[in-house]
Amino acid sequence: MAELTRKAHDQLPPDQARELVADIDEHLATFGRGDDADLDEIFRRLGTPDDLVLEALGARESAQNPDSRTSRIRNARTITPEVVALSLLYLGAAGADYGSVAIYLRFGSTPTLFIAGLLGLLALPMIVAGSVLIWLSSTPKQVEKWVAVTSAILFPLVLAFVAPKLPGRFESCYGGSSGGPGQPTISYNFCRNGPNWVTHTVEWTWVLLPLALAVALGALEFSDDWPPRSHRRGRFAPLWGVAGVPVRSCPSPPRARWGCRPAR
Amino acid sequence: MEPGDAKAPLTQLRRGVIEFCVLSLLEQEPMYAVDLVRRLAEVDALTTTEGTIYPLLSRLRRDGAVTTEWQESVSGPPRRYYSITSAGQNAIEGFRGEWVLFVEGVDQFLRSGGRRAEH
Repeated sequence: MAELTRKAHDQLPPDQARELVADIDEHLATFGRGDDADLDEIFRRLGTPDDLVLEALGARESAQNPDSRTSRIRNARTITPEVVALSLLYLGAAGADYGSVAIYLRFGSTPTLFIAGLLGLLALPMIVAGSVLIWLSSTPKQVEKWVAVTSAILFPLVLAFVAPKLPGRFESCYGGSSGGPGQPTISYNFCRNGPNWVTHTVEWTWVLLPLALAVALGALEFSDDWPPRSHRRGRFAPLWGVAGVPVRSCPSPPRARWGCRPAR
Repeated sequence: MEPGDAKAPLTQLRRGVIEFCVLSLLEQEPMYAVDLVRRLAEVDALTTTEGTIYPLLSRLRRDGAVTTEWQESVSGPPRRYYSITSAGQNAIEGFRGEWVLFVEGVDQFLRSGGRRAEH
């Protein structure tokens, strides 16, 4: 049922998808009470989720004539372009975040700054490449999902560049030496307002927490158990808002697994 | 299409008429989905499955040709029964007239083609 729900909402209008899922659910609840053999027969007669969705689209060919059957629904995206796109987006976002944090914290060592800068430079092309791959590999309905994922990933980048400049972030040192001919030379070096653990914790959390949230939500977006965007609201709305994903109002599905309340 | 292979056109033909066959059955009495499948299976050419009938019934419901209601069942949980509406009645009546003309026209071609082959 989870697969049917996902595919129906991917390919059909929301109300049609809801009806189809509800009908099959009712059928299974009414007739699916027998032993395993009966259930096998029931599922065989229902067909696969793709069959049901194709039938609902009015485009299903006869299951008894496989040679003439054409697949009008592209199968769930082949994993490879999706994985590559997702990897490019996440790595790009992580690189940009790391570079931004490194610059803000002013890592002392030159190689570190170089690596941070390099990651930052590579980040933008990686994000662009990931986005293009998404558009090339997704069905129109899945593009909606990818827009949500992309915006969730890009939001931490914006956060990183506007991260608050906490007082005392940068160590300020001044020094010198005093003394003269025939007198002992005294060198001194005073530092103040150095970064402490509080500063580091706040800044890393400020950048990494939204990124981690975006990664988790992006992964869940394509999980079979995650309902489509049109059915999400309510308790998850604040999280989506933090991640920068616009939340829509929700129609009333027959069974709201995710606390989706009926539209008033 | 291979010579002698009539399955594909018949499949398409069945897809075109099955909703009117369903409406015609519902004209007689309200039925639930599995019952409709059983009744259609009485005719070989119209054998179908639940995987076809549910999307079809959903489409008919959206079009306003059928309505549904739950009825208690003696042999299990309540079942959703489908009934034809006035819009569905109008649709099936219109189809009946067109179908007669269609069948006569196709028969005319098929008969004349057979006679030509004999010569």
